[in-house]
Parts: sequence; structure tokens; C-alpha cells
Amino acid sequence: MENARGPADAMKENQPAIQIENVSKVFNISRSAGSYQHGAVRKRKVVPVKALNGVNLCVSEGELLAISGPSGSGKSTLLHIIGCLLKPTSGRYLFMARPVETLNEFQLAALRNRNLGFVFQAFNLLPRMSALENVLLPLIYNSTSSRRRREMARQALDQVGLSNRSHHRPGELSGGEQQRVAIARALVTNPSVILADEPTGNLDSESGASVLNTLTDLNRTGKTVIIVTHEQSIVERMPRIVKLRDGVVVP
Amino acid sequence: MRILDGVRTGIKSLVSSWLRSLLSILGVVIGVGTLVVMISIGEGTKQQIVRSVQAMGSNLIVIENRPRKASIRRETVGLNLRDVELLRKHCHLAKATAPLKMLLMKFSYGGETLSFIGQGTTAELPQIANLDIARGRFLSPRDVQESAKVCVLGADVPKRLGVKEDLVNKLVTLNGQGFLVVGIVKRKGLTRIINPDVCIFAPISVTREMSDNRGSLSRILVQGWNSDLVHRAKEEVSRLLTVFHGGNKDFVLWAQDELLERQRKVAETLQKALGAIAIIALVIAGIGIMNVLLASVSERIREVGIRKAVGASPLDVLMQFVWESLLLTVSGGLIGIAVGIAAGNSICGLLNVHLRQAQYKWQAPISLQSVLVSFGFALLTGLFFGLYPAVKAARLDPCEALTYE
Repeated sequence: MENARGPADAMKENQPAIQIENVSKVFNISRSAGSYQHGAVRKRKVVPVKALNGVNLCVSEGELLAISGPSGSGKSTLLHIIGCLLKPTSGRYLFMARPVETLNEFQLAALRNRNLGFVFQAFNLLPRMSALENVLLPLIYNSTSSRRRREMARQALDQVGLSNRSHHRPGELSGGEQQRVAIARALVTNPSVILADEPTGNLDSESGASVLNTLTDLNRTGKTVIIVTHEQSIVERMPRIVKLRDGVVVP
Repeated sequence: MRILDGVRTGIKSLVSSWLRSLLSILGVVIGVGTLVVMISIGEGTKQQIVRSVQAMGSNLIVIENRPRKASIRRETVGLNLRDVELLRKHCHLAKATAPLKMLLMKFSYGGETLSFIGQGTTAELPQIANLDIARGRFLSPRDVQESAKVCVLGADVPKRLGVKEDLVNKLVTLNGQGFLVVGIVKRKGLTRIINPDVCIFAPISVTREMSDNRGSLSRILVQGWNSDLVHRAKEEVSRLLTVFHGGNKDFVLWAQDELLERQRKVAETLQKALGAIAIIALVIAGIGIMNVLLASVSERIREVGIRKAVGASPLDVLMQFVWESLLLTVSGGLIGIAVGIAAGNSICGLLNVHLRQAQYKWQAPISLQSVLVSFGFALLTGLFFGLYPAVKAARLDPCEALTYE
């Protein structure tokens, strides 16, 4: 798969990076899919849960955007769909003008690897690896040479101001540092879109602010940044806000 | 993901839970070790059998009394000295013929007495049964003709009796009669018909007088001219003996190569049975590995989710776990081969100590084939039992895996 960013750059003004049309997502809790989260009791019944109900969203390249709403409003589900981790039950999703529903698992993996970077609330770093190894993890999956990998990972760590912590394991880092390692991991493949799911949710206000600054700085370098949050302080700083309630975008 | 990264990732995760890895390797070590030992012991047994059959002599036909059954008329006498004389006279396909008459002999010398198996025979025996003489000479035709009270001892006879001096040309007592020792047979080891090392050979004419059943024999050995003619000789001998015995086929006879074939088949069956045991051990080891990997997968659901989120394809995840399984079995296999070789050698050492076989040492040959077969089985085990957990991991939904607690 060729890098989708090339043509997208040329059409920056008129071509949206993310175009979501009438997307719905229904979780069927009885399926094995639900068993991890919901245990054996609910497993017996088939409970269809509508997480998203006809969402329309258009994000241009280089935009900084917050998706907010109360818990259970479907904002994480929407982010997972944008991040190609989840396929919508119905509706159309164009990522860089490519219909995501037509892509197979391998194409989706490559897309996530090259065009998308994730930052999670729980950091999701691999505990047995050093910061550097965590950051270069995505590069393992696109056949970058191991020397180039380390170089790129160091650069990314440098970008988030953690070059002096590269050999520490996640357990030896503070929460804010861990989240910055996660951001470095998200940007190491130089993706066009960074997705952050409650990136400051597990952090104190000071390190939360520093993480948020790192993300807005990334936006200034031209990356599309989408942040899911319910914190009012973050929402206020965002140029564009999409509010979700019960799986529907509210004005 | 490139192979090197897969191996590196696999090693890292195996090392990080090293005790578990070690325990699961142990199963493979035992399985592969057993396989190597079984194959090599089986091969050693086969070689041993072949050697002991070949040591009997060359182009040999062995005639024995048929075990008595109701169907055989009572008046048959079985093999006797007359048969030997008639075969010598009439069977032109026989190069040489020798009788064997087995009887217990009480051997006394210098105040020590011990029982040995005695064989009454003629001068042709060394040629037919490939016996060499260490000192002195074997029985001569004249000894047989004149019923001379002479005997030839097996190599271990003096030692068993506790006699250190050279017994050649010494007078000894056999069943209360004085005999002159004329020679000692060279050490040879057990053969399929006799154990010459602990035997006492005496002229057939003498042993005939020493036993109750006179002219009857335990065996007749016939040597064919060459390997092509052995089977024709066998038919001829069979036909002639049936005639001598008045149409009564009260004997059995087999050629050396038939025996070899039969014994080889026995050994191969044994080898297969042993191999099957080892393969069962490997299957058990495989189940152990699967168990470890399944535990490892369910422990690392979140890791799989993270890897998928940063761009690992299902194949990448699959290969990560397959590599872990292969690394486990490959390292277990290598250790197992080493353990197997060591165990094979020490088992042989023990066998040799206990069997005290002088000339033919029991060996456990480690063939490249046995090593490759064992290693191949280990690899297959790893692949087969590693695949299911790996597929399970590869199929995990990235979203659920990420939020898995």
C-alpha cells in the first residue's frame, strides 16, 4: 500500500482527511465480543447496544478537534472507528478518500501503522520494554531497518522532551512521562492523524497540561489531532468541538 | 515484521517468564531425548543381532530337531551321527558338515569344579562356525576317529574357574574322566547357536560315550559353498535328511540369511515400538507447550491489542506466537538431542558392563538421521501445538483486546 499522505497533501484545502457519513455502531453483547467486558451473566442474553446512531463528521487535514460528551455517549466508539480499530455497523467512512469498509485486516493494519497514531488514557505501553523499545514498536511492523528504527525512535522521544529517559521502563516513569512516551510512539511513523482517547484522564493537572501542549504542538506541525475528552478545561482550548449524546452528534 | 524481529520478540518474552519457559522446554527435552535414545538403542540392537548372526559362520545351514509333537511318529530318533556321515557322503552342495552334541560337563582342575556346557563335535567346526584358536590346536580328525580324551576350552572357561595358568597341555577332569587340554578358542562373544567362550569342545566320539542318548545330536551345521548355493544346499539337505529318516521330516533347518532377516525384523519392530513411545512423549510435551502458550496469550491480550493498534497485522501476531513456540521446541530439541546422545552412551556402557561381551561392544550409534528425525518431530510439535494459541491471538479484536482488564 502506498503512502496515502502524498496526494492528500496536495488537496489539503478541499479534501477532508476523515469523512464519516451516517455511521452507526451496534454492539451485540451476547457475542464473544462482549464476553471480556461484561462477564458471563449478560453473555446469555442478546442485548443489542446502539453506541452510535447516524453520526456525520468531516475533519479536514491539519485540524485540531475535541470530541466530548458524557460517558456512554459513544465518543470512544467513534474514535475507534476513526482509528480503523472498529468497523461501523452501517454508514460510510472515508479515510483519506479511501472507503475503510472495503479494506481487509492487513490493509487496515498497514493503515493504522502509517497514517494513524494512538494515544490512550491508560498509556498502553508494554511494561517489559524500555521507552525507546516502546516507541520503535510500530516501526517493527513496517520493515524499517533496526538502525533506522532506533534513530527515528530517538527523534520522536526528543520531540516529546524525553530523550534522557529512553532506557527507562514505563514503571520507572511518571504518568506524564509515560503518556509522552505514548505520544512519541504515536508519531514515530510520522502519521497524518493522531487520535487521543482521554489522554489526560489518568494524569494530574500539571502533567495533563504538558501532555495537552505536546498534542497541540503536534497540530501546529500540520498533523490532524482528534482528542476525546470530557474535561471542560480541555474542551475550552479547542478550536472545534463535536458534542456527542447517546450516539448522536448534538449542535 | 521481519524474521529477526519475530525471533527477537519471541526470545524477549520467553526470557521474561523464564521459569515457565524452562518447564515447558523440559517436556520437549524428555521427548526428543527419548526419541534419540530409542532410535539409537534400536539401531544398536539391530547391529548387535546382525553381528551375532554373522558371527555364527558363513553360508551356514543349521539343522535342529523339531520339537516333539503328537503328529510325529514316536519311533523317530531325530538327528544322529549317521545323518552327518550320510550328508558328508551324499550331499555335494555341502562344503563341510559338523555335528553338535550338547551335554553338561563337570569341569575340575586344581580342586575347583564347575559345570559348563560341553559340545561334542568334529574337526570341521572351526571352519564352519568361524572359530579361531588362541593357543594350541582344535580337535583333529584323528582325535575324533580314535576317541581321544582331549578337549578344547572356550576363552572364558579358565577364568570362570579361577585358574590363571595356561591350561594347554594340562590334564583336567571332565565328568570324572581325565582329559588333555589341547587348545583354547579365541574370544568371540555370543553367537546365535553357541556361546564358544564358555564352552568345552570334545570329540563327538567321546561325548557319545558320555551321554545316555548315544548317537543323537542337538544340531548339525552344514556350510554351503557360497552364498548363491546356500539355498539349493538347504533344499538338498532337507530332501536327503527326509529320506534318511524314512520320509519323516522330524527336523527343522534354516539358512543363516533367513535367520538374519527374521532377527532384523524383530529388531525393527522393537525399534518402531520404542519410537512410538518417544512420539507419545513428544505429543505430551506439545500439549504442555500449548498450555503455556495459551496462558501466555490470555495473559497478553492487552499487548496484542497494543501491537494491533500500532499496526501489527494478524499475521504478525500469529508469527510472534509461532516463533515463541518454535523457539521453545527448538531449544528443547537441541538440549534433548544432547541429553539423548549422552543417555544412549551411558546405557550402552551399562549394558557392556553387565553383558561382559568382549569382542562385540554394544553400541548406540547416533546417526544423523536419528538426530534429524527427532529434531524434525520437535519442530512439528512446536508448529502444531503452537498454531492454535497463535491463531487465537491473531484473531483477537484490537478494540476489545485494548480495553481488556
